[in-house]
Amino acid sequence: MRRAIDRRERVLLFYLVVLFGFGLGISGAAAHSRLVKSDPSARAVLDKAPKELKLWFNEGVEPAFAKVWIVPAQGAQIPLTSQGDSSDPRLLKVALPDNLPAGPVNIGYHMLSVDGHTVDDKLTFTVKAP
Amino acid sequence: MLDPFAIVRAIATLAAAIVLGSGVLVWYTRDALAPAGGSVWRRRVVFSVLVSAFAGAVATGLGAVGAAADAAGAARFSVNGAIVGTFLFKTGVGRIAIIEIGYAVAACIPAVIAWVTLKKSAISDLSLLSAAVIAALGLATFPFNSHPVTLDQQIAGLSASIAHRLALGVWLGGLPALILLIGAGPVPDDTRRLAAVILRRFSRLAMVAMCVIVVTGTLLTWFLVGNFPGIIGTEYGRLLILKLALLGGIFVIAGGLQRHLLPMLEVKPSDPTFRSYANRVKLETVVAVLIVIVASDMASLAPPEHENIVWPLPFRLSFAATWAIPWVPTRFIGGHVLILLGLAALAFSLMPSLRPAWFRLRPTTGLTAGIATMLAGSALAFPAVSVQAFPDTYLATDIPFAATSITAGLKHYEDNCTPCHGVSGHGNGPLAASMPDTQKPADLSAPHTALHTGGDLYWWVTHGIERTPMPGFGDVLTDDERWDIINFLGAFSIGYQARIIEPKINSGQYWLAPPDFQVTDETSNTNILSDYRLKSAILVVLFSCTQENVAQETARLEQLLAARERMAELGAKISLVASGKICEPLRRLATGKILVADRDTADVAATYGLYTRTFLNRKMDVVRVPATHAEFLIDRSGYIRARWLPEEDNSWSDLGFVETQLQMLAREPPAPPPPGPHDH
Repeated sequence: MRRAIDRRERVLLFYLVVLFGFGLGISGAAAHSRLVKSDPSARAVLDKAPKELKLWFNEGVEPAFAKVWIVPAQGAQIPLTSQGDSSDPRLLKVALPDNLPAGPVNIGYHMLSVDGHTVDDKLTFTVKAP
Repeated sequence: MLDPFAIVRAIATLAAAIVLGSGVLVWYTRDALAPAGGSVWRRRVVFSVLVSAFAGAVATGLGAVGAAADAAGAARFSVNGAIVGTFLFKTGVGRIAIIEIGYAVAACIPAVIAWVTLKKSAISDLSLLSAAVIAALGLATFPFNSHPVTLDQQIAGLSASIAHRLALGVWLGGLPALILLIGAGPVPDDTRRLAAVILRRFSRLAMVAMCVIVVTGTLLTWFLVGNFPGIIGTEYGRLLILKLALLGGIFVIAGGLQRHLLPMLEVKPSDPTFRSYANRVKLETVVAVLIVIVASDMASLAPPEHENIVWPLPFRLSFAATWAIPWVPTRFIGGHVLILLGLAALAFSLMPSLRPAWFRLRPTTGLTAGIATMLAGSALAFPAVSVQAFPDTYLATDIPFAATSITAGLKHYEDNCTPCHGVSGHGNGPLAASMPDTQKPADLSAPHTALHTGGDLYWWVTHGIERTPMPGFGDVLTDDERWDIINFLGAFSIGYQARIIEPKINSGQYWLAPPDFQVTDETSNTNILSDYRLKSAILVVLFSCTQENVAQETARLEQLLAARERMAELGAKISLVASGKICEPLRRLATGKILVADRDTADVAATYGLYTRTFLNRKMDVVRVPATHAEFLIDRSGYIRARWLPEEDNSWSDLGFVETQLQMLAREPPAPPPPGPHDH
């Protein structure tokens, strides 16, 4: 009986070592939530520069930790100010600068959603030259 | 590698579990603790609860700091007070974290009281139970900060998650108390009988807890993962498999304890049996801790719904794609009969009590025959329903099925694909003539069947198709551009199927999804077409203005504008799509009165043009359909249900006809949301 128990324990231990090896091989990945729609929409081509960018997510967002910025073709990122919307927890409103140049506008954002996960993504729209 | 944040969260969970599980176990066995060994064990357990309560408070606080760092996009645990303050007091996630910290700290107070009042066992036991209840509340708070809150089935998800964590706490948290009972050196004589009683009672508690864990875990998997590809094709799913495998290990250990060792111990509580029991409990504890670490890592990942699935197998099983093929149902069902026969042979060979009198095979022969029959059955059943699959087979895109994407895809098609697939898309481009018959380019107007997913098409556009002239465009077109092509192919193909759509509603025809586009409403708000789902039916009117017909088009618009209030009463809105300079007066006329597609209007017109083919008209020879006037009726559930092409008949000239259709739509119950163009 004793020997049988020992053997079973060894089998179990082996099983665990194999499983744990499998576990170590798994690497962490960034959480990813989604932008449902935006105004202007991603990849829109606009006749004139918009004053505001609205981002709607698939989950409620926490405006206190929202970061939105413009990635210019050259130079440092330009941070933008954003605020939530009391009537729609999934909406984030971003004020855009007045002097938005013609051409593609690359927007980056980092968002904390209500389930505690963060979202990092980008979108681009284009302002036509006058 | 494991995230340090996940480790901290695992420590917080483990600590709360020990406070809960050990507290509950002492309370449940308190009547049996009178013998001398009982007070020794109680002292050890109360001390472990005390240490766990404080460790839990520290880990929960650290967890909040880590979450704040993550929220701010800073390195783990390297944040200042201001960020942590903003996180805790300015966000919903943070406020829930405050509640968690509050419970973790509060649990320390009764734990201290339980330690100080050890001599007065009634007060001590009651304090320990209070600590357990507070720890349970803390464990039940966490799901409000995690995946379940974002589920559609929020209340069911939250309840399942809370029950899952509490059951885990009762079971896992009792294990260290068992180690303190029989695993910390030889079991003294005065503790032996007592130990058998406690182990039996724990076994009962753990049995109930395990049932709850399995049931709620199954529910949560259903809610959060939902489909099989999500389990084997995502990191979350693979961690889930690991967790289940570890749980399988627990069942083996716990089953052995309950069936063999516990009865042995109750008959004869000998040292070797106690040693063996203690070793297994220790092993079970290690596995349980691994499960909590894996679960904490899972909690920091997005569930498969939000993750890209990378399919690891060269095939997938699809009934939709194969069931109609001759002999497939026979092979599948026949194969399963064989598998069941094989299973029966295995069961009869392994378990003599099940063996019927007519089963005369020797156990080894029976085993071999059973396994061989099962293998034969599998070989018959599964290949029959298997179809080819690629790593991207279950990949989907965030790019919506919208006019801008479809038109972008149309342009990429015209730039890259016409030499082989032709300007018509029928696979008859100039290069096609020189290709052997077996390798002719595909006719892209053919219906997309369940045989190929959108992800399959994406894989082919990216990598090409093996052993055919189809090249890959992964280096030529960006990821988004290739998805645009997939969206275009969906619209192009289904446009051919849409030839049967008539001016009259046919009931139950929920299959044709309208491409999305932006509109400006009567009060200058911007919406997308799909925003109106379940709110309003939409009459999408595609105007096509030339100098010759502009008066006629204007007259139609005026007719519709005059009828808009009547249509609103019937639950419908009108949306104008009028591109080009000549149409500008129409756009001005409609603005502020009905929905107007005033962004990317040419794209919207070109996209809906794909849906204007009929069996009569001559729009078969080009992919990009020449513009004509067309009207589409989209029901409240978001499906195209009827359309009118004035060049074919004159039915909708009389708006009374349209009103009849709207009345029919108003009587229909809502249907589920439209599927994507490649969903089957």
